[in-house]
Amino acid sequence: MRRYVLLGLVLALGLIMAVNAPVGGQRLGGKLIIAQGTDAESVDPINFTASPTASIMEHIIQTLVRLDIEDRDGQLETTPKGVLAESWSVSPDGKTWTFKLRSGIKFHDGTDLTADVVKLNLERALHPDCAAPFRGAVLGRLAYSPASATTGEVAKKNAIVWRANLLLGPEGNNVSVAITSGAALGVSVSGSAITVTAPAGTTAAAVIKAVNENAAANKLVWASNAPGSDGSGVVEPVAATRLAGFATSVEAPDASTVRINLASPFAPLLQHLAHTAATIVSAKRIREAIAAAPPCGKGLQDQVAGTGPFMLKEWKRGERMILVKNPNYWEKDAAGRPLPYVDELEWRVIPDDAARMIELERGTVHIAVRVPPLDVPRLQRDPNIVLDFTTSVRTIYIGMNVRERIPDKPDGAPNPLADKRVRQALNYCVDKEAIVKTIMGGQARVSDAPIVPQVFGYAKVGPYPFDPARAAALLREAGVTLPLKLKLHHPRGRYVRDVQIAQAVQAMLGTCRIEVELIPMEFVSFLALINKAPSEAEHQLYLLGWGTITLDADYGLYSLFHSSQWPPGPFNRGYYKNERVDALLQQGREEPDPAKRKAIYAEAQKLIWEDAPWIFSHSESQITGIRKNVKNAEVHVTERLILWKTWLE
Amino acid sequence: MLSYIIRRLLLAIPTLLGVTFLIFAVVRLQPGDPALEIAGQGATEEILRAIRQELGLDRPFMVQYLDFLEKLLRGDLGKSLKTKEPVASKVWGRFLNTLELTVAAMVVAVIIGFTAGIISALRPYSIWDNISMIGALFGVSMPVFWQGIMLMLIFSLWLPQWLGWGLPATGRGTIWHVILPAITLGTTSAAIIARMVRSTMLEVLRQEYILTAQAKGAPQISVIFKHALRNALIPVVTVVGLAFGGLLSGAVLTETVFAWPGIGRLIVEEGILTRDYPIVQGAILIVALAFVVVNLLVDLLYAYIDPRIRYD
Repeated sequence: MRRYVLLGLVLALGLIMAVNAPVGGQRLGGKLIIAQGTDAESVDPINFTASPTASIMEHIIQTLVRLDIEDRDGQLETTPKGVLAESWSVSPDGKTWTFKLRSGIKFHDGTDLTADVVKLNLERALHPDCAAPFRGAVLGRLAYSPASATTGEVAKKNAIVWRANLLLGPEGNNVSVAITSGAALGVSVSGSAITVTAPAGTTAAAVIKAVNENAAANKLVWASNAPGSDGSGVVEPVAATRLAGFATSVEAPDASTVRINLASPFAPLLQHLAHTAATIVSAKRIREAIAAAPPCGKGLQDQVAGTGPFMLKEWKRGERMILVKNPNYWEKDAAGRPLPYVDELEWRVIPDDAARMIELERGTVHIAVRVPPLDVPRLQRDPNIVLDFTTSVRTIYIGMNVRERIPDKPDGAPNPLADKRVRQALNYCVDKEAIVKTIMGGQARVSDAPIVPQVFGYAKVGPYPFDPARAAALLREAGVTLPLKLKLHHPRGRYVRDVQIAQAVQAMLGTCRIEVELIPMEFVSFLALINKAPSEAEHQLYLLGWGTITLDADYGLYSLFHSSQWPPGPFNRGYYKNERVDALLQQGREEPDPAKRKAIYAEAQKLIWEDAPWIFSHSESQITGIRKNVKNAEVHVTERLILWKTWLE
Repeated sequence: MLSYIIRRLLLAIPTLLGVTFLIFAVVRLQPGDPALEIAGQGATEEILRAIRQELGLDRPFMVQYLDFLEKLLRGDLGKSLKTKEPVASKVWGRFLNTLELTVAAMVVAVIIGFTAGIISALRPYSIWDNISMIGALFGVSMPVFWQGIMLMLIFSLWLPQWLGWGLPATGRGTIWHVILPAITLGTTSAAIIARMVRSTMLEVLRQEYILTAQAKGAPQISVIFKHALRNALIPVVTVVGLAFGGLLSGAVLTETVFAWPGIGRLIVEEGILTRDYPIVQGAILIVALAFVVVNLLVDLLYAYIDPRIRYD
């Protein structure tokens, strides 16, 4: 008997040890604690903007595809990998994308992942009424039938104008629309201008119907039916930000197939679908949320259910969010063992940098994000802490208004920055190495292209060396009278050490006899100032950052350098225009072959670099403090942590 | 007494009305557009318009204000622009957290302040007086963020290395978590209370009734606490009450350093920085209400301390 008890004990002990034993080095279990500076905004894909939120969300809810970055002989390759989608294909004309979903995946609430759920999620993210933050930039838009637009009297003329203004021409160009009062309802189309005449009392629905009939005849597409008003009868072009091709519809032909139809080919669609804004939530939870807060059910709050490796257990606002392991998670590691390795993730909010570092040093948190550069030497001496330096996709630049006159109208002042040589001179005159070394504490990377190496399509085309003599020669050649006076508008506290960067640039340009006046501004007013049509714009130099969050050159180049992207609305805020660049960026968008796309973007970057519409400065680094006993924690270039393959020793 | 309390509470209404109007105006006067904050990088003008319309931000100021008042009468503080959660529940939970911290800080402030003040007053210009008054000077002058980090370094980082035991640095949870933030938050008030106690005690101790008490042979301890301190209390209680109200609304730095999930951080992080107007409005309204209530309690306390004061 005693023997059996002993045997039983040994067996039990063996079992316990088996559970906790290292599995090929990976130890299971434990709680991983992460400290971030800010709390999550929500756990809802249509209601977040910041990377700390995305970091948490991607452990709970998942996208169809994700972007893996691999270092191949020093060349960084970004490849889309299937997550919820097992495979995908694109039609020869590039307009129809078909995704096959992985089978047998269940949401945390027990419901199945089907094509209908994906359709519901994408349509919610794309629905204009839901005003999802990343809708315009990342997801493009669905064209809803204008027949469902609100009805009303023609007195609500502006609303109709606004609607009509969301028509797109065959090339995706905007159409301008004017509504005038007249005896009978009529619509005339000439080129990209539509004139509507309507007698008083005509319903909005009737006007829309009339425009619609013409729209069909003239191959016009409704971009959206977002309600709104722009306050005038004659409408200026709406923001032409069409970053992701115009998804006209999402279909679910069977339970495991999702089809996305585009109005025009859009090669980087996968990159856009890999963004956190395109994560898929349980349909049950979405319907519950919509019932609670129609029409979109914003802020799924504590009830989100996804397919991810962890499930949301508790969220104390401003304090912590606790995620527990999803025991039925579908993904396995390379050796076929179930993921994730740890049982729990605790995301703590510690806003103060110094306090966050103290908690890391104490060992009460395992990972602390955003290590202040000044703390780097001290933490590097700590044998229990490893610092991770990963480039961020955020590029910091000083844009230049390149129009002939400022503002760009006959009585505007002549603009020396319209001359490419002057712009190049500014680039030669600014010592980027010094900015990185002294202001950024070495924790940044001097830009050698408008985008960073992790972005698909990156080509090294720079940097501009620090060469004041060359700058002086170029200024002489351009016939500029020195000292040249310029204004530099910049935000305060938006980017790491932005004020100091502006001051350094001012001092450096000063040595080239370019006198720069600094105008620091609160960020939102600053954005308003540079978001004007060239005929009203007063700005010359402006300091700004751009994160290429889709990791595709299209997102980092098209919206910043294509001439269709001039403000108001889009982001080519220096009004740069080069026809060859325009053509290349359009080709890059439509070309399906990755190798050809690379060549296209390489040429575009070379031209942009030569034209120098920016002073190309640097990209920021993310410094993350990780305790030594934490293994395989990945810091993604898009400022997210990936912890489902992480274990504790 | 009861009618006094009711009258005071009624008088609070115009005060709070003024507060709501000021806050309502100020949050809308500051530069920045909540729609832009909600939309983030890559927002188009069309999305911004949709957001503004959805949130009612495109309506005239007075219409928005009257709408806010109407809802307020029904106890509805509105919904967060960003997350659509009801502001009232969000604000209330955070307010209780701040109240917890503030009460702990006041306990620290009163214990330290009274002890130091009484010792100084009993032995004016002695070494003890000098030490406590220099301490008070430090207490007033030390910036909260510096003091907080120093306390954390000593008690949370170094102490565990030497003794194997220390205090938690950040967060809220056990009673141990509240100690360091309470000391940090209470120090300034402790210093002010100490100086106040000292000066009023010194004044009272010179009074003839103290001499009388001592002459009739009352024990020293009873002279200090019964005859002197009680008479010195009125101005001190005023200071304590003001400090309490001030701490309730001004704990934001301490809350930030210690990652304490209080109402100050709510106002700054989720309200002002993201232009979430209803949160700022709701939170400040609650804080203002708390201030009014604390003032009322202080006034009522006068009557208890000094029986000559009557509110009829």
